[in-house]
Amino acid sequence: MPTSTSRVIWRNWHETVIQPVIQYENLRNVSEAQSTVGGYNQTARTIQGHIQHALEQETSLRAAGGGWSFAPVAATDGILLGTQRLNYRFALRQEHLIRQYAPGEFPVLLQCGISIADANAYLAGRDQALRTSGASNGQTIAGALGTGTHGAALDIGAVQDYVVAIHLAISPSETIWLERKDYPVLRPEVMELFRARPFLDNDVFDAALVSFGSFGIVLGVVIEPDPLYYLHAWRQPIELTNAVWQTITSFEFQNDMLPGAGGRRPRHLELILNPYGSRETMVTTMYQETARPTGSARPSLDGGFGKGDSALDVIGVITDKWDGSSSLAASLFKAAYKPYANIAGTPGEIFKATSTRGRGASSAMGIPSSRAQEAFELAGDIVRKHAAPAIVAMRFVKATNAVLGFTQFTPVTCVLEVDGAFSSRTRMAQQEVWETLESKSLPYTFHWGKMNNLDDRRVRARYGNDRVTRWLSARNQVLPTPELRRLFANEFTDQLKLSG
Amino acid sequence: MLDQLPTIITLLIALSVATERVVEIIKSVIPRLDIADPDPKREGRRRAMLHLLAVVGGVAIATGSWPIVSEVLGRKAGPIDISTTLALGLLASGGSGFWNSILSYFVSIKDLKRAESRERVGLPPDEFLPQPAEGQLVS
Repeated sequence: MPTSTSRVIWRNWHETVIQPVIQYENLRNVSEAQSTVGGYNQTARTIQGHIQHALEQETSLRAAGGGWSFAPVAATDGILLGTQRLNYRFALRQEHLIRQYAPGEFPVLLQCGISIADANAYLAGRDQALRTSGASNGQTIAGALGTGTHGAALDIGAVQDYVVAIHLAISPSETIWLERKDYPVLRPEVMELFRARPFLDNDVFDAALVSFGSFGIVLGVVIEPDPLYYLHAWRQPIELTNAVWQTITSFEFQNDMLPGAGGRRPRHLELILNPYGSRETMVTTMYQETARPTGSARPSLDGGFGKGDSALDVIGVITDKWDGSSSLAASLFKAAYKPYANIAGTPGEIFKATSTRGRGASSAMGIPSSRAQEAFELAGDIVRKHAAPAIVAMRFVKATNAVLGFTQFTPVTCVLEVDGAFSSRTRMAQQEVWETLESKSLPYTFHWGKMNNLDDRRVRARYGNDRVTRWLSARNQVLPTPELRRLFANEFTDQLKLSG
Repeated sequence: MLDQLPTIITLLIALSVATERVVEIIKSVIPRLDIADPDPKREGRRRAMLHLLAVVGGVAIATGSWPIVSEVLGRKAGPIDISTTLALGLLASGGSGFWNSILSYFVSIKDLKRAESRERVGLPPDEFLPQPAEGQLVS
């Protein structure tokens, strides 16, 4: 398999992580025109060769994925594998599967490096779609899985919640095919085709879902898509009264209070607060339809104030230096988050962004619904107090089974986001939000791919001692030797005492 | 230089937004500036006055925010450079819409350069990752 080697300083997409690496390897499949089992297996062997090499060098090995995380979760100073070209996709038919699937719901096997955007494009060609994804979609499927990437899918969950099998390279000589014991999907002969040892275990599977590359190198995943659907979308300003909050956090939507509802339950629900704007909050709702609704417009949801890679950067500098600049930030955000109505598209058409507007600072916290209003309002107050060039958003995501998934609050986790230009004001506001949530004993978790202040104490306090212990125990089962556990660790897991 | 252009243009957008706001405030104080005049001569004078206000506003804002402007432009702290603030003020008076379109153009160029540099280290341009055909499970 061809590879190219370069000594580089690796940077993540959002330019918040700068990581010198001993070696960076861009991997590619032997044929890039046709997905083949032989090619997939050859790539797996090459990755296992890198595992061998890293063991000999006594250094760590990680996959960089799309570099989409704001936190140094994927980074290593050892060997980093570029996996973005590893984007094979395989159809699965009933003869490959233990479970019975209805037409249109057959799972697919995706190689680790396929981006979420490309996965949606591939699935659209099969009249299918991902059940949910983030708002921007440059992540690889393995990266989105490993960090618990989420959208605002009220009744669906996050990316890991539709993954039903994970193929992991765990040593120079072994790959494992991980599935839940109580939800087996593929027949053993298919696992044999990929030279993988079947590993069926509920606890280990749930722990491996959100494991940020620490259980081995993800070679591929099997996902359960939905039959192709359309999202019928609205974004309208609404004053978030107590009654509206009650409707939202009860997750019962009979009273048509939400934009465009017409008696429908939203599939996607999101609140966006411009802290410097009016009292009204932008409420984005999307309703599932099997066909494009008559009279709806096609999506063109580009924000508005310009596509500058440096725009957020400049806003950050300006607002850091100029106390009166929050009104400027307000104008810019207002331009970026315009209301819209009656727009419909497939998930791939709606969530199509794969580029961003510069050096951003993004932080997301999972909050239980009983404290959602309090958390949202205090975050808005803190952003205003610091005059930070940031918005406050909240998205609603069904609780996950993943042991360290940050969307762990039942029945629905409210994801509080403080996102903005990378400036000291934004960073100070984020820090104060985290501290205030803690001081108010408000339970919360951190999105693994975004900015956080986690350390070994906080990771246990935030996610639960029991969950961390279960995760470590599952990792020990998959990686039985200290050398292997060291191999797939990095500075981030060391800091959190998750390297084992 | 090309790498810096989007930053400079984004600065101009910020200055333009601020300038437009100043002009809007003045228009609300002097309502006749906000109403088109049926007489072509007087309408011409009104429009010229608005342009002049935008230029003066742009220069004033660029001057007033010189510490920020100089930092964004990557200059060392120092006294206000009159010619730079004059130029920025004149350019900002063009309006944020104009600079937005220019920015889109330069971002496209930057994307092309990024694609070239990705290709040099063995990665395909972002938009052009090879998309292999769907495979079947046969050995």
